[in-house]
Amino acid sequence: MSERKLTEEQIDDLYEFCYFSLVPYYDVQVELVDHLASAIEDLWKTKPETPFEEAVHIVQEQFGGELGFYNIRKQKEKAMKRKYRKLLLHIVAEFYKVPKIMITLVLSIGLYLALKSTPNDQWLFIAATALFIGASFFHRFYFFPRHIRIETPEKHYFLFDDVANRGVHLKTGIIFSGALLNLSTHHCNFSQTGSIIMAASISFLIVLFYCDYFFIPGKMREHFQDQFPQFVKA
Amino acid sequence: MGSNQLYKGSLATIILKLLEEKGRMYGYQITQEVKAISAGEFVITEGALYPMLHKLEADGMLTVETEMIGNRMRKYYSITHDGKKEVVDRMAEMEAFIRHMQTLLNPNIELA
Repeated sequence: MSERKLTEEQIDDLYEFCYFSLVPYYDVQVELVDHLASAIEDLWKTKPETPFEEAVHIVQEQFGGELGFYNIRKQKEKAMKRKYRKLLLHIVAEFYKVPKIMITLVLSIGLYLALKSTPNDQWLFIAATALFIGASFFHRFYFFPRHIRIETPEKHYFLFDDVANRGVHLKTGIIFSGALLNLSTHHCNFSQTGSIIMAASISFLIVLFYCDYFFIPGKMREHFQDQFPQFVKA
Repeated sequence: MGSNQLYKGSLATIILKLLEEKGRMYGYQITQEVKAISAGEFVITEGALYPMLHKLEADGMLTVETEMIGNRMRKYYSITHDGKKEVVDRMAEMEAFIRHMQTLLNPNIELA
C-alpha cells in the first residue's frame, strides 16, 4: 500500500492554520507548513487511519501548544530586525571609512558652514526636517515599491519587508518628534562646539536615511532572490 | 532521556556541526537526525530549533534556499564560510569545557 501523503487542499489548510495561529508572514509559514506536513506524513506511516485534523493537533503539540507558533514568529521577528540592523550598520560604516568618509566630511563641513552663516539655526532645522519627511514619503510610496519589485503571494506578506518598513517609519517618527520639539522654541543659535556636534549629527542622519532608502531595497531584493526567487519580478 | 538543560547551551554547536557534516538540511530533518544519532536520548524541540536557526541565519552563519518538494515549499539551511569557522571555535571551546568538567568532577581519573 502506498504511503498516505497530504493533498494540495490540506497544504492550503496548513497555511490557513498558521495564519490563525498568529503567524501571518509567508516567509515564516513556509517552514512551519513543511514541518507540520513532514511530521504528519511520518505519523501516517505508523497510524495511517489518523484523521488529518487530529494529526495536525498532535503535531502542533510538539511546538509547545497554541502559543508555540506565536513564540517562533516573535523570535523570527527579533532575528529579522537583527539582520536588518546589521545590514544597515554595515553599509553606514562604509561612510565612515576611506574613501567614502570624504563624502561624510564634505557634508558635515557644509552643514557646519550653513549653521554658522544662518542668523537663526531653526530655519536650517525646519528645512532638514521637511527634507527628511518628504524623502520618507517619496521612498515609501514611490521608490521602494518600484525598486524592490517583489510579488507578494496572494493573502500573504513577508516579514523582512515589514521589518524594513517599520525601521524606516521609526526613523521618520524620531525626526518628526525632533521637529515638533524644535518648533516649540523660537530662536536658537549654537556655539562653536554645538554647531560641530549638530553638523555631525545631521550628516549622520542623512547618511543613515540615504543608506536605508537606496541600499537596503537592493539588499532585500538579494535576500528574496536567494530565498524566494519565484516572487522576485524581473 | 538525558537532561535537556545540559544540551540547551550547545544547540547552536550541534546544528552547525550537523550542517557542516551533512550539507544542506531542513528543519524537520534536523530534529529527526539528532534523534537518530542520539538514539532518542536528545530531542530538539521545534520551539528551540527554529529560533536558533533564524538567529544563526541573521548572524550570517547559515544561508537559506527554498525549493518546491512535491506540493509544498521547503526551506533548506546550509552552513556559510563564517559558520564553518564558528564550528572550529565552538568545538575547541566544547572540548576544553568537557576536559575541565572531567578534571573538576573526577580529579582522580586519568584521561586518555
